[in-house]
Amino acid sequence: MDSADLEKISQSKFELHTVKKNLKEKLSQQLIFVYESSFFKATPEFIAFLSVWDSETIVVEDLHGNPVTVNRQDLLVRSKDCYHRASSEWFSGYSDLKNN
Amino acid sequence: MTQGILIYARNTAFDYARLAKLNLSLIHRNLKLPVAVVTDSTTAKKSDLSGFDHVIIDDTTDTNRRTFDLGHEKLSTAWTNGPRLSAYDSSPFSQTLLIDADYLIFSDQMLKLFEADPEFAVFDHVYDVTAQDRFRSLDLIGPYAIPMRWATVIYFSRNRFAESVFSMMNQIKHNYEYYSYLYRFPKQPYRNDFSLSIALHALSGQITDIKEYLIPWRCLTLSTKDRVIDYDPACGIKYLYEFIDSDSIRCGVGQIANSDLHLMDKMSVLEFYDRIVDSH
Repeated sequence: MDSADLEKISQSKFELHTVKKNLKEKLSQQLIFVYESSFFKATPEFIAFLSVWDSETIVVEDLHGNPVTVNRQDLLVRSKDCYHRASSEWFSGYSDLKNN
Repeated sequence: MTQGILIYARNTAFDYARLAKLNLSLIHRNLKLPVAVVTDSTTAKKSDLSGFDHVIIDDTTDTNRRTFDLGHEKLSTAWTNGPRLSAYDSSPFSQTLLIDADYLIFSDQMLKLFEADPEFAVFDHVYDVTAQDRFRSLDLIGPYAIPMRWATVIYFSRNRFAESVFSMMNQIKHNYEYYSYLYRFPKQPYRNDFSLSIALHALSGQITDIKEYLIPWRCLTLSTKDRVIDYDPACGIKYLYEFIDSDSIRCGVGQIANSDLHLMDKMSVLEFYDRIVDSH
């Protein structure tokens, strides 16, 4: 391999990294959802927290730093649904990269 | 409550009306909301503005100019961004999303703003789609480090706070030279981003870390130097960009699909107008 080949490999890895980073950014956007006029992010940590709590209502912090009283089960269902849709699309985008 | 998108499109060396028309098709498809365009008489006469739900004529004069670095050339042209400050009064909607004509709506992400309905919301961070983080130096304005707020997308509803932001932006524009000395930024060209940032900072009680008026995701952006080289409905926008590798400048190719995108190279995307409009 000469230096031109090595440069091509380096460049293709950089471009692949860029596309992967863009897919991750899109995931980050899609994980955000609105519940009772507040923004939340359906992260695994947030879903786990809602899952293990045992009372019907709970105070959580929205993305603007405000405390919000919510129905825990309701918010959990919304969060899981949002996470499932966003992560499925992320996986699909990643799979397309592998196949190309 | 009426909801809608507001776009300012006055032609200069760039065909903003055609960009707005391209965006109109994307907005109707992805957000299913009405679109109002604000333009001047000359642009309205020479452009096809059919399909817009509202056409508002604003012939306010604006002498602002800007030099766009398009990579292969530098283009100095009129930059009629001042009239956007009348958006609060001009908007026919009670919930308005004001966007740059070149902020293309490829997803339904913005519906979340209408659903949450904050008083006022803007982006605080730009995400460089070429993964080079080229906009980081623009996070703060001047030596006093006023946090940058981007005027590319402004969501507002009818309320006293939103009205006060536009009112103060107008005051800053009319005294721009004074503010440029005060905050130590270039006095030319006039930038709505700076007026917005100063107004929002002042009206938020001079507190820099208030999140209340921020859109909780980033503004995906390609700079004026990046060129759109292809469009495909499945793969989205394919673009060519430069990156500095030690002592040389090299080119890379990237792609992004189904994400709203601020395409600052307004010319290259129009080469794919028909394909984008007809592809869905």
